[in-house]
Amino acid sequence: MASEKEKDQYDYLFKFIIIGDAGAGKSCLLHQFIENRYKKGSSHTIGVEFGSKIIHVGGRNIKLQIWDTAGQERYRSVTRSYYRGAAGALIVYDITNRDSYNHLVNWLQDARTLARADTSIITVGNKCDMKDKRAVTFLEASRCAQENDILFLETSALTGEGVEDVFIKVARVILNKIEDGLIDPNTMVSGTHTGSQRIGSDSGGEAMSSKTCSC
Amino acid sequence: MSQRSAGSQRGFTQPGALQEFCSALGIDVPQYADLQWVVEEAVHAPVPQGWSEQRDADGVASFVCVSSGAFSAQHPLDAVYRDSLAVIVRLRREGRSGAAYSAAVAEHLADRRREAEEYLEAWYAPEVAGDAPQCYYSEGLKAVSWLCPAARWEEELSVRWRVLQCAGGGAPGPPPGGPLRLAEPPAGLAQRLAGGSSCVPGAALNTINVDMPRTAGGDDEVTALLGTIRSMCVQRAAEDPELSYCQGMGMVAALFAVSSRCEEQAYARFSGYIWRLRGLWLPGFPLLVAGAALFEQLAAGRPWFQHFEQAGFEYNMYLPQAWLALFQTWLPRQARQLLLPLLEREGLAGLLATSLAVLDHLEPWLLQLEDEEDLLMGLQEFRGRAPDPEGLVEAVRAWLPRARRGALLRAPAAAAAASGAEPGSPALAAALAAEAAGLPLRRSQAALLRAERGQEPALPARPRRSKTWAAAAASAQSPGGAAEHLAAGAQAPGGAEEPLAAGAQSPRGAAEPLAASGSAGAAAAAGGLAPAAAAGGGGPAVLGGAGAAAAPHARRSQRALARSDDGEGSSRR
Repeated sequence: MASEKEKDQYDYLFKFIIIGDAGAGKSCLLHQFIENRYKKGSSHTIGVEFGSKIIHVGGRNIKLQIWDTAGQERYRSVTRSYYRGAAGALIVYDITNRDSYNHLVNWLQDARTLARADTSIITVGNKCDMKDKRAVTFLEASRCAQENDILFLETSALTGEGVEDVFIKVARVILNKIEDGLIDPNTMVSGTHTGSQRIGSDSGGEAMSSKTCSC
Repeated sequence: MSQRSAGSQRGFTQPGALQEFCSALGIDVPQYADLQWVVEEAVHAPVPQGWSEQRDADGVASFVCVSSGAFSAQHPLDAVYRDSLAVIVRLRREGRSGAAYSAAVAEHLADRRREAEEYLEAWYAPEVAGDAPQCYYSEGLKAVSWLCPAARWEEELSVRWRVLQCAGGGAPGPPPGGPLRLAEPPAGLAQRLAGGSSCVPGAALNTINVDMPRTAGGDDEVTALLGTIRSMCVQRAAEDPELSYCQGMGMVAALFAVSSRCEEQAYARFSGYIWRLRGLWLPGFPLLVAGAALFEQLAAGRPWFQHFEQAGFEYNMYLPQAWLALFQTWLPRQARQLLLPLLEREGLAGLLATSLAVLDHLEPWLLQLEDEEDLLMGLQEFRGRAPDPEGLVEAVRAWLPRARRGALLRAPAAAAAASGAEPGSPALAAALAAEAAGLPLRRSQAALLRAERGQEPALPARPRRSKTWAAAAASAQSPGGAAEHLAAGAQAPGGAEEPLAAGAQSPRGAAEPLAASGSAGAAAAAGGLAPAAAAGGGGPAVLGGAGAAAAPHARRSQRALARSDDGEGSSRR
């Protein structure tokens, strides 16, 4: 069975979602994280895509199962069901596209209402290699993240700058919550099911809402 | 940009073509050797803003004006340079120099400027809401452009002025007359456009713009056609505000663009295909949900499908990518192009048969993938493991009869019902005609038909499983009737009379879809692409028909793309 495989040698399994406006670079970010290189000639995402990787954080092997979603508004009705049970959420915007930053609050609201109540959220300002076209400053995004009590990093899916940090940072926060007893790892994801199947089995996650953590 | 061809049909885009060009005009070459720089400048001129360059399979370049759809087999500025040269030669022959030359040049420029002003009289820049990109609208041409139509005229005037001035020994500078202006928008234009007649909403335009660079998937031939593909998407969105633009449609447009002879044909086929299957992309994805239910019925006996079910690998993880983007992630382009006529002819049945055939082919490998995660990761390998195109076509044909029956199961007996009903009112007649023609019905039309036949409205029954997309369909706030209608019909297992996606699931096979596609194409030509000819001044030319040299244009191609990206950026204000 699969238990012998390397892919199952891990201590914890975290479900992540990547959301944000179309063209912010969500798929490229995922690809850079998984493959350690930029995805050339990529296509835009239809529905959802998936990737997984084991990372080492705080002496633990943590497996990340990451759902990458389509950014267009029309797909939101569909991608929303993939939020459920996510321990981590990456809200990606494009630092050269003001609109994608302005929509952050909508995505944040979606993540807060549809994922776990204690989901650790990071906002990711992508395309930081395009400094000459920057439309959102580091400072204001950083301040906005602080006000909303979420993490913040800038990345370049092109060069890889900051990409791994994003995933590690979120995983570390979740790990801390587990070690502090704020999250029961048994309520974490144990599969890659879509939201539709999780509705019934997610009562553990719902019960967590009373123990909401600061993030 | 107009094509005032002043010489041979041949562009002088090859280095050293001056001699040929001059001979065609009857000019003595040594006498005009000082004009070599004009030819060189023409050869290296970038494609003007708003134009896109593409090459066909033989590497022959052609150019399309993204905003107007105007087509040219030659670089859009070739005619300008050629015309300018002809003017210079004429003036020299007439012995004009000094003040006489300057006066003649000024007169020539004034003529061209008047022409520009006449053209621009038809164009408005309507007010747009908020930070939506400025779009331009021509009432007469019924065309929408997101590049200012004045810009290309200004570019042309400035080329003419510079060439004529320098050839006469004068100093180059901005052409006389100052910037060109558009007409004042008539009162109420903004409201009328917002009413949805033919203006693409800013959000859809933004998504199209953002999607275009990542539509080609690394395919150079598609990359070269991005300007065309973008204009196809914009045009389609303008003509069908309810559907507008949905991600995935760009890849559909791309396949039609690379598979068609010319832009007109590409658009007509694309628009016809989308029209028949538009429930795939409508808010809530009603036809996807309906089609997936059929897919699961047809696949039920296959070992790979049982494996999928055991692993919890649901259709919403793999069918949307396949169906909404014409198998871009499943099959290499060669196979998709080979299948395209069949897919156009068969509609939903074609999508069903192709999906089933591909998964059948992949079965031995799929069965080795242990769990849902492996299967999810395996999706990325579909294209690399695709069957050989000819074999695939055979396998798809083998699936077609069952796929058609499946589609028929839910399709209406439209023709019979239509012939049996008395046309009680023009509205009923229209509804019956629409149904018989395979067009999506408005909600009111569907209700009318049901009432006429004494049927109860279809209950929105649940699909068998996989609620994600179905739930989306149920909850989607679709503005028009077609989506609800489709969704309701799609999910009614026994709803044989329900006019579900009559167009998509044609009971009459090959003949009718062709007609439907043809009429959609004709409508497109009348409503959308006809202005191209008017704007371009030339007839619809055929891609690759001209013997223009490919090499200099190939060099231009990169710059052209860069330019078109700039244009895109600057249009977003």
